[in-house]
Amino acid sequence: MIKVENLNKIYSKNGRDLVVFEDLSFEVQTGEFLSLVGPTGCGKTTLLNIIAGLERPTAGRVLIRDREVNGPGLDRGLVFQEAPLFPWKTVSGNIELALKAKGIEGRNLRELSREFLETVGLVKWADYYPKELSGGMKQKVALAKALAQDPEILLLDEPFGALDAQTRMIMQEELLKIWERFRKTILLVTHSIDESIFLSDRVIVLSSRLKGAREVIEVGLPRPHLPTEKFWKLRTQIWEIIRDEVLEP
Amino acid sequence: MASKRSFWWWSPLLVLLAWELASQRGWVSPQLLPPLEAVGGAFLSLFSSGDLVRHLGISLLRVILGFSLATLVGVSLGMAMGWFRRWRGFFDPLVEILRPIPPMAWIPLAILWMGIGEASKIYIIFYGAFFPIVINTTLGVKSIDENLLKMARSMNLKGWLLFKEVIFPGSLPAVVTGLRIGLGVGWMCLVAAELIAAESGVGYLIEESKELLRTDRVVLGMLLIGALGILSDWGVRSLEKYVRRWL
Repeated sequence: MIKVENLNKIYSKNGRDLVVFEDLSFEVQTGEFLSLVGPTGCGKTTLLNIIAGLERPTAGRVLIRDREVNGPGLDRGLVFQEAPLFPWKTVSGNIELALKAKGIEGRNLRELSREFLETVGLVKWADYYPKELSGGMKQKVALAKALAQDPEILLLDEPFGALDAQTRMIMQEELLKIWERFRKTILLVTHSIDESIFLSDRVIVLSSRLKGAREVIEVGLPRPHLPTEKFWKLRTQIWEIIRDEVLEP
Repeated sequence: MASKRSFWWWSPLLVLLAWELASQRGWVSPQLLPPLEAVGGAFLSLFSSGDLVRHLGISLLRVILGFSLATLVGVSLGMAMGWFRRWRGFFDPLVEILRPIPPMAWIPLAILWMGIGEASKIYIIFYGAFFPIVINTTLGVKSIDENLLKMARSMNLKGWLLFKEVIFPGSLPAVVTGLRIGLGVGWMCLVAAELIAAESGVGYLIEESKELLRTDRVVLGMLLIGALGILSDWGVRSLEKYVRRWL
């Protein structure tokens, strides 16, 4: 479904090159849940932005269904940690806008938006503004908005990063439900190792020190991914890779 | 908030009392500061003769026209300057050079170009109100959250829909600030323009009354401008309240 081929990203500033990643290649299968973990500055978000078509790679390319990405598209729905909704639009208005951008018009906009709010259980909040919602609710609406766009792929950039631990766990379960129900391909950027193992089929550990090297970890657990012995082994395995980086950047 | 609002008239009342006391006791000459009731009398006589309504009406019309024009041009240009780097690069130097020139300095030229009719006064008001509006609008567009713009791009929002649903509402708080400042400047420019060259309007009323040594009418004119300024500011503020719903 998604093919990342020999992707390079280099920022040049004042004549000096900052290599974010080099020669990065991997594939994401249709319907797969894949997480990208790594320390701050390893280029997780940059990678996601490139797949989203919001940034250009220095070299290499991204293919979606064998077509090269050269800009944003409705086949990819995005959810950010920061500012996931338009603050000047109500909950319903945000979802209606996603529908409008797809070219849907007319009176059934509101009804349609209601359906998507139902999937995240927030119909009662349709006429509230984002500022009146809690962090978790905002992210739920953002998910509903991304679903309303009806993309094949969901790109999630630390969507639960700003939430408290309990809300985060609830949101993770909510996300799995959505994934199982709508069968989307999900690419999640997170800095939480537990979150990546709990949610994903595979975890890609991005390294900032070894530009070319990165590890792909198969979770290979029956769902739900409960904290069994294998879970902890994976956690240790990922942590070992990341810890070296955090200690000697 | 409630207590703040219900006591807003305390300080004006205190000033009025001090004023009344000063003229009652004869601390100041009535020529320099007319007593309250003289101003009230001036109000009644001008109102019954119809002059007051005429002066107020024409002043109000000038401000509305000049301010509307400034809003139209200022918001449009500001949006374009905020969004398109080339527009900003092209117009920014011009705005920065013209901005420090006080609107009053334009009066001689405005009269030469447009005569002493309505056009020159509307132009002065337009000029004064334009800069706060255009600058705040540009700033408003530029300060829209980068993440929201990214989201808009990923949602495939383009053209009119992007403008209507994202750029315009996103910059609205700053636009409203610009409008408030612009309107205030507009009133000042009105009076300046009317003081120098006019045959009607509140500014003219003040100037004419000064010539006739009718300080009661001078003070009346000043109070009227203050009152009109507050009223129009309330209008813009209701727009602000609309914006505050989601801020």
